[in-house]
Amino acid sequence: MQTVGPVLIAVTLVGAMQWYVLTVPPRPPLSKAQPEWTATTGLPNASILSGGKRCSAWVGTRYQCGERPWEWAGAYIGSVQSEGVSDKRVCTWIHPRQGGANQITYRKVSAASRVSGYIGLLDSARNGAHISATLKINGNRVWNVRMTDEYRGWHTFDIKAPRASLGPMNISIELTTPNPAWRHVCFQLTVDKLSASSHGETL
Amino acid sequence: MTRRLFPTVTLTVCCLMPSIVGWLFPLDVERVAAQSLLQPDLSAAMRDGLMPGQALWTSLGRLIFEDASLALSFAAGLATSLGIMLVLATTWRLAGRSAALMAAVVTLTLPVTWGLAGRPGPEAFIFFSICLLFLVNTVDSGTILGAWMTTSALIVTILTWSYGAIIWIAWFVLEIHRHRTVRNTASSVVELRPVHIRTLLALILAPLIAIALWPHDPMELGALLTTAIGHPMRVPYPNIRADGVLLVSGLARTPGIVTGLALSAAAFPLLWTIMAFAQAKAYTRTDHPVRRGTVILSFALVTLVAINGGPWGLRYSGMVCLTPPIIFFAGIGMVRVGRYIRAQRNTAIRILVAVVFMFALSGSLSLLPMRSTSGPRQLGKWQLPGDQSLPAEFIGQLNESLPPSATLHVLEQNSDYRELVASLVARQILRPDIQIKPLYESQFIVVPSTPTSNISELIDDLRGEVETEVIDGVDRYQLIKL
Repeated sequence: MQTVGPVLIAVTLVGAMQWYVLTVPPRPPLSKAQPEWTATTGLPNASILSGGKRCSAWVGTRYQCGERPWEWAGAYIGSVQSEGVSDKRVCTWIHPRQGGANQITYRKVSAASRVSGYIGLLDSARNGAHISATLKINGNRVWNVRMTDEYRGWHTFDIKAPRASLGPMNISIELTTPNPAWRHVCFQLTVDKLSASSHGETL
Repeated sequence: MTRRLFPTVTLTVCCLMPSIVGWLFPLDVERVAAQSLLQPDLSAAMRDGLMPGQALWTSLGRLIFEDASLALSFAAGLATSLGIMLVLATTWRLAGRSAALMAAVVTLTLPVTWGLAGRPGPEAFIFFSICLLFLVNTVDSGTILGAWMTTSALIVTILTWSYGAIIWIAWFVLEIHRHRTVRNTASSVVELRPVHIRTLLALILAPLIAIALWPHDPMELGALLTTAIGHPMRVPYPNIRADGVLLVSGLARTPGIVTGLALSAAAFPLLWTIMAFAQAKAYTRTDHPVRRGTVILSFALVTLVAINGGPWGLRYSGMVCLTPPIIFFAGIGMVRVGRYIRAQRNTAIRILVAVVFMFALSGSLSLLPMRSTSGPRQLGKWQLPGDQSLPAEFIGQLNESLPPSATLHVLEQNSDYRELVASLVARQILRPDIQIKPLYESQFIVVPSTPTSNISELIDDLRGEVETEVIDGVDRYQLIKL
């Protein structure tokens, strides 16, 4: 019975300390540099070719490129499983179509030191043909990737902009595949004057 | 007569109160966890993985009510009341009437006990099975009655709860510990007293009868046991936020044992938890095998919750696991505090202890309005994960706002909300013409922005129009037109 007193005082102190720890304000969020331009925000001003044909004008939140429910281009939340958990990212959805390549061109993007981004075959994509993506700046190919069902995941890139592009740039991304069935691909581009992520491939 | 009548009536009222309040003031939400129990065909639900022990309770409710929600609410309330009664009876048997009354006070200050009947789901049945184990622990399994009680309690646990198998293993440890003798020699050899054949039979028969009662292939129960034992961690875990800042990302990592334990403890009033731990520590020193048994059982439950990453590894059943030991030990701890106060001559110490008691009581009572989540939604600046549920108000707005044959996608971190909405359509709580589709085929998206989800950060870039929005505390539910 004599031990109850010290135990009570100890637990009160521990309790009060834990309560303080629980109620202490958390650290403020780290300031995040906002990118100047992203492919999803620049999409309303882009020109889109899907299956070699021009898509309709921007309506609401997307371009309608065909009659099927998935034949559109617009902002999307793509999900790619990574080590058992779902890695969801904002990206641009554009489903490949028969008849030609998909090409999205962003004109007169402000000058930048780096262009970064990611692209991937989404979890919703069933097995199918390979799909290639080519990134061009001012018509010059600066990066490409060949995605297959065995090579899934978000493929990131971080490219130093060409020296010649001190003025506004034309950025385009082209997607080609021999068979568009279930090629759920999604990409994002970020143009940032600040130093971009150190992850991913740097050219 | 009066000496027994007064506490008996008081304890009975305490047992019934949470259930009656739950029945009179049910929470107007549809929960992920309750969907399988609400299915019209329970045998079909059992084929889909509903635990038979839970289905049995719901069937009991359906004998009285035709409506599935009422049946489940009745069954959950009954299981809650019986569970509280069992844990208070355990406390009375082991520590006396005063401890049982104090345990009743603790019970009535815990949000989880009030939430069990008002927010029906499988947790009430898990709570009952754990409380039954606590009572059975006080019975000698060497007697015929004790052996049957042990067998029944273990069968109920295995059939009610997918992690019941671990408790069955813990019961072996408990019996071995009860029968150990330590020789008081220099070598300190630990020996086992002979275990009664009835005790062994109870332990062996429990899983065998459970397999026999299992409605499907016995291999499924085997798979369930190996899953529960071999893969206790579940991903993805919810995110934990404070002031909108992501502190523990469910995507980044799963909470460890220490985080899990700390958050589990934080889900209860802190001083109750500390008092319970202190009292459990005092019980480990006792030679009384039954008292030691309660510690082993509690330790098994705490370990189970910890290896599952806190209450959220097991969803709210994690908190339900810890409720019976908290009630039991905190109740006894309160009596010890009371006796200590009476024994003191120093007024300052009396005042100090009284302040501690008032602090604990007020802290507990302040959490009571949080019964909607069976626990706190917020601790200080910490927003803890809420239940995966949709308010009835939001469901009503979906029915009104969505055009005929609308294509709808539920944007969430995991598939639970999607299953909930699909189930609501199947049960015609949501209009049956609503089509659940993948995101790329949908005109509308439902975005439940709870602390368990980080999806809302991604939504702005979709540029959709918010058609309808319901804000419920820290949770926000939106219907967005694309």
